[in-house]
Amino acid sequence: MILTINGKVHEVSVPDDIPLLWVLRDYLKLTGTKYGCGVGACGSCMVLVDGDPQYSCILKASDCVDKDVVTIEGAEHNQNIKKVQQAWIKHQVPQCGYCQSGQILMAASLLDKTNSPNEEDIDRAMSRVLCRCGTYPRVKSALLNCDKNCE
Amino acid sequence: MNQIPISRRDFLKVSGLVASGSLFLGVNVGCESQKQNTSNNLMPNIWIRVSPDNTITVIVSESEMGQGTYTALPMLVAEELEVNWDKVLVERASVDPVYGYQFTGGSNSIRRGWGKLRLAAALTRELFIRAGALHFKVDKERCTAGQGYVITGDKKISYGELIPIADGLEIDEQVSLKNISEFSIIGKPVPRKDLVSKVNGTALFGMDIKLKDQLYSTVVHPPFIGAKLISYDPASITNMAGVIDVFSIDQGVAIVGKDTWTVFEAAKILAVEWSEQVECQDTETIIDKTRQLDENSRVKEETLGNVDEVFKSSNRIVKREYILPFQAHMTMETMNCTTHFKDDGDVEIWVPTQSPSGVYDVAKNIAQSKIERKLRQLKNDILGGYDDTINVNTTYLGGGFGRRLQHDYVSESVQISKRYKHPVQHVWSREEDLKQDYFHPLTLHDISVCLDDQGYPLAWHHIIKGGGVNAIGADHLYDIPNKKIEVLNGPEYLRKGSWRSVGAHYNVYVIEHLIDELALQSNYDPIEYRLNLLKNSSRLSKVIETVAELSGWSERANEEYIYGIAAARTFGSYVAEVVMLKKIKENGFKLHKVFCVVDCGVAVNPDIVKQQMEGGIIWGLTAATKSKITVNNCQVEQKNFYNYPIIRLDEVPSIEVHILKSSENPEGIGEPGVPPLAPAIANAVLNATGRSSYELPIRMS
Repeated sequence: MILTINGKVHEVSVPDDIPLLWVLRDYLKLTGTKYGCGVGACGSCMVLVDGDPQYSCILKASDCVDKDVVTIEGAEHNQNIKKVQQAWIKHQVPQCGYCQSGQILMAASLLDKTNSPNEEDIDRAMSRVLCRCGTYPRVKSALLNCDKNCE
Repeated sequence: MNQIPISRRDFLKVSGLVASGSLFLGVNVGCESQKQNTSNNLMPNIWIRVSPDNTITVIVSESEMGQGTYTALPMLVAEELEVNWDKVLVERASVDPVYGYQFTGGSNSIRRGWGKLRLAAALTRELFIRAGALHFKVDKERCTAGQGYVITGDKKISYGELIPIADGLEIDEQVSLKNISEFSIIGKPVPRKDLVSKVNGTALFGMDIKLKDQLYSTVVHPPFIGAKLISYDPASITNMAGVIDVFSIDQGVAIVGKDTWTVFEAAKILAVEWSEQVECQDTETIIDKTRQLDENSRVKEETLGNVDEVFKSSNRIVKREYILPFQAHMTMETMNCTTHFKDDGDVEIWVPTQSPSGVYDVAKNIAQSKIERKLRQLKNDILGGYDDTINVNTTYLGGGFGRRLQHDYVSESVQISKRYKHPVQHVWSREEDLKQDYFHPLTLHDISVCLDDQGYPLAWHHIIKGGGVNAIGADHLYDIPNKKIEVLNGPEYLRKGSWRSVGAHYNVYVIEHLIDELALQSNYDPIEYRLNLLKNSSRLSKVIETVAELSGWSERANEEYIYGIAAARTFGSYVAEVVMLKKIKENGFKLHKVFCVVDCGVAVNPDIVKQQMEGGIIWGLTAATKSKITVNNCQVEQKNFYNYPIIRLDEVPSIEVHILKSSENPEGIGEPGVPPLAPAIANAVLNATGRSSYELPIRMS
């Protein structure tokens, strides 16, 4: 199977139905994308596929052939991921940090759609990624102030 | 890391001025006068390593699970050592017994570190000042320390450059600690050390360990505790590509394969037969049996005054029963452990754990025979040191909350990996993680209060019933002349563990919700009622008064927004929370805002304190309004986030945290934000509807 991850082409020999998440983590050692539920309910595994946020734990890797996959490791090629990372540091968002790759990828895709998201935009997008430590208020304030903070 | 042999004869007796001005004596910082110099670094004690390039490595023996130990503990060192914060590195302690039995829990990290780490740093600073004085050939009184340098006049030299001189000096045993007014790092919202790696995906959690030729494993556990394995059919999965082996271990049936997904899929398909339980429980029977617990199950009784007399002679008695459910941890990172049995006989473990010492013990008991353990013990007794053939690497924890104090998954991992020469990463699926949790226990509370003519409690009797329950938080500060607290401990039904804020979660809920009901009954304002009962507790009164002011309590109109308050001292800290509910439709409410005031003594890093209060409130929100674990036919009914929902971003109100300035010693902060939240919401609902919430989660409509 040939996959393009963060602009780099990888040829991998993997089981037929394996979800993208496990190809990234167990075969390509791109461990920034996390396992949390396996059923597309928590969002720790969020990646961008052709620019769209996708739960990689329920997305077959074989469906990603010929598509561009972006993970947290691809930040340097993605302005909005970098922007979100800076805002995350500025607002000291993470606690345990486990869900944060998912949060950041989701947030970056939100910024792809709108430069300065309002509260409603943030609620709608960011409610797809769960956090057990309770970093939500900072996720929100980091995104509400993103324009100001990230330049 | 390098093992530093420490002689225990040198528990330092140090007198130093601490913030409150009192003397403390005989603090054990594990220092000894024979400093150990490893290569060119200098390690004057077990907590600090100074390198020639003037970087300072702080050894931290508390796990980083989001609560900020890798930042706040090194801050204590940086403060007294007088070093540049950017030059401070953090290293996780090994399981060497010189660090004691490592156990991160009970909101204790800062409380434990406050004395010993500042002292270790101050002694080190003094060592370098004396080395600098020798270097400059001046009296040490003419030298000061700053930014990692010893300075005299217009000359300065770095600690790193002074290592050769410092290495030849004895450590002083007398040193003064700074006064609060002299702090330059403690009390500042210093950015966390761990966040850069946590935003770029490089932070290593347990599951992120990827070693050469690593295999993967999981375990199919029994459907309920007590079920025994009767049989399993390896043929049901051995033809699956990527499945390497299937075999039984103590806890269930282990499957080993080439990747995590393959073993998870195989676990779903594996044909297994388990024994049935003769007598099976469900939530209702557990509640009934817990209700029936009597004094034969009593494990604790605390009394003040004469409760029984007062009840006999009173005619104004309020009796209530509260039923609070089991809760799960649901750490975002499921349980996992990676173990490698190496060719040379050493065992190396990588694991996200709150207790590496616990991991070590579990692993040792499985990896070594009894005779082997005895021989090694004998060797260590004679030659000193400890058995480091078992090495535990503590990774970042993808959440802990008490779950990672238990090590069933470590036991499994070691049993499985023992069969292989390759490292094996053992991972639980979310479904196994939830089913195999050590749950926050279900509790029943019988509580009776006897009121005086004014409606204030004369006598208070709280009976806490459940499996593995405790009285944490039940010792409230309300001035009631007659008090009795009893704990009745029965069967656990589900495995029981520590869960963020432990007993304080259920006990404070009951106390704080009932207090509001009593206030309302006699037409008191809930804050006025509390303050009248707290005349002897100025710190709790102060947080209540402050949250009242901050939230505009006295100006509230109770039309569009409804207020509720709760407060408690738990884990040493005083917290008051006011919630504002917004009416959204006929009899329906939405959380609008939470105000939180905390007095935790010195706030070592106020931004981390804020994070922890926000996190505690949000943790409390899930249990208050959304989640509970139920049991049907012995089995936990919830499977995953879709039926054990945790709070999402769009359900979280705005949260305003205010920290009271204090010069008292720092207290716990990971847990105290949790307990007041649920009763504050229940009290707001009570104020709006007149309806008390004797069960959780609270009905919000």
